[in-house]
Amino acid sequence: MANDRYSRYGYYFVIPFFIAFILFWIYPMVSTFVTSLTDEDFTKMGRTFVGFRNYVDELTRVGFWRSFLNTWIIWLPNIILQIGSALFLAVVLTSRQLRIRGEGAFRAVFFFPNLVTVASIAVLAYAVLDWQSGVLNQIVFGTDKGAADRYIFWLNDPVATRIIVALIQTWMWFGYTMILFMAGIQSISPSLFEAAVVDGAGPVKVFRMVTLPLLRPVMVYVIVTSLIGGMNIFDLPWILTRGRGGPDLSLTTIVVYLYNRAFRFYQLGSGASVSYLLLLLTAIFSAIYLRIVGFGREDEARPRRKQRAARNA
Amino acid sequence: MRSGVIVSRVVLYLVLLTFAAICIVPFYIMLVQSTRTNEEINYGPTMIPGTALVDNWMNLIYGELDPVTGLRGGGIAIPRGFLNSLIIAVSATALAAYVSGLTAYGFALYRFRGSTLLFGLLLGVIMLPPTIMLVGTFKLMIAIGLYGTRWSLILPAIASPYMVFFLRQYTSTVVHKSLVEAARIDGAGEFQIFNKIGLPLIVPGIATMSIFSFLANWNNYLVPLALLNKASKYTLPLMIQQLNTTTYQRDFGAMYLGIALSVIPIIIAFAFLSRYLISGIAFGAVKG
Repeated sequence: MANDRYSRYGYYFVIPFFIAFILFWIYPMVSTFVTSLTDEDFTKMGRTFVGFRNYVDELTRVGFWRSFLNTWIIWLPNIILQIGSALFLAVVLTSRQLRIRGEGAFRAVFFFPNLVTVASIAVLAYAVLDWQSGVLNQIVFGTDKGAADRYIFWLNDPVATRIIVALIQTWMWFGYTMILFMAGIQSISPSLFEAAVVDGAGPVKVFRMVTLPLLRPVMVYVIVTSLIGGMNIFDLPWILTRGRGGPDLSLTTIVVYLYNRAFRFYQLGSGASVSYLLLLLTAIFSAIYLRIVGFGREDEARPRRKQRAARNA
Repeated sequence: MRSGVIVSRVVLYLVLLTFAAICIVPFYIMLVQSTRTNEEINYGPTMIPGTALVDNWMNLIYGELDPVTGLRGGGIAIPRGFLNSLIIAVSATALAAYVSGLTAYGFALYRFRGSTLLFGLLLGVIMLPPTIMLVGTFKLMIAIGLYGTRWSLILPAIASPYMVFFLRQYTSTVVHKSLVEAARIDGAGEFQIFNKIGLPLIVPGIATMSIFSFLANWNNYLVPLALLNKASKYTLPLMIQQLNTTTYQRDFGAMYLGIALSVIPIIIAFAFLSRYLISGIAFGAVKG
């Protein structure tokens, strides 16, 4: 089929895509990088090349590292809670012994928050968490006379705001992650579970020795995609704090910091360098994670082969 | 043993129902509060809707009533934002769907020099965070005169790498080469074969991906925030964000109603499409 008379049609079919791809993906990426090497400022004429000075400036700025830390403080509790709850729920809903009814309905309900526009969720959280009229204070402290004195100003507390954003992120994503785990569990051969049960393993042992090891590819996918998304969190902290980045800058995540640099202060060069530093740091952390779990190493193939052998048996 | 299983099942159902409540209750509170006055909202939460829906609607869309002049001023044009979002999301999705189908078909059914390289390039960007294009896209749109227009949000969707990736797998399983060869013998042209035979076969795959594309465009916030500068072009998320940045930040009835107006269409769409969405996500787990 290689060089037959139809092969040129292949180009015709893919050309429209690649024109748009070069214009709207490759060019902006390259342009952002080139901009990051200059002192470009939207409010001033012209620009000069400054090499990697923007990068050095950012890496030595307290504000950059603080926003980086804020992003991690939000992401880390979120991913732990998310994986914990999603894994538990996925195991329960796919269990052959428990035979939970309404599995499809639970799955749909748990997934629903993920679909709602983040902007809507952020404003909803803003209303629910409001100091005086918010439902949360009203439920926690009641609405009697004097109860208002105990109301907590949630959105004015640097610690509370980050916990709140982490919890909202968990709430939005645990259902999505659960669906991935359920698909992963369902792709494991049932004979493996049966063999483990025949060998006398209890539910905890089956989970630890069969489910968890075989879910590793899905787990890696979940953690890496969540890391990339989590490092890029913007909508929720931005809208929840009305573009201010929170009390004590506690919700100034990296992308909030980037947006302020590039689009509030119009320092395009500096902002562009933050976006590439973010890419770099995300890549480094993904690589470290993949190294720790040993993904892609030679011995990775062995358990898979074992699994395949078991399936054939 | 048996009674132990029953107890654990009861406990597990309670846990599942608790999680379900956590997912539903915030939206129920939103719906109830959107029908109540500010005084009622201050008084405390309830599960029973109020009667201020129309008042909240008037305050939200046409602005607060001035007690002296009897006129309304301000207001957030939620319907306008709705329309803008709809125009952008539908156009972007339609373009992405057709071009991705075309591209996926090209990669699945033709072998041409450099195809592996081109497909690799396309795969390479899937995992990249979109923020690394933000400054470049902003400058590009200014340079080509599309800054501040809906086109700046529609045209980039033509190149949707993940959709092509998904559809290429899909096309190679549903469109058989023998079918294409038979059509060639009958004298059909290559593009005719795609439009008459290939495209109809991959429509289910395109439909699944289109839901995701529509949602991504509908929910997008950062890019419109950077690229739109006129309130008349604002998408729904940008309008929603005005609820807590403008005078509405103390009118909670109107605020809840504004949020509800943006969430209700998603609830309705979800009722019809959840099955396709969930199977589309599961694909990512197995192939990703």
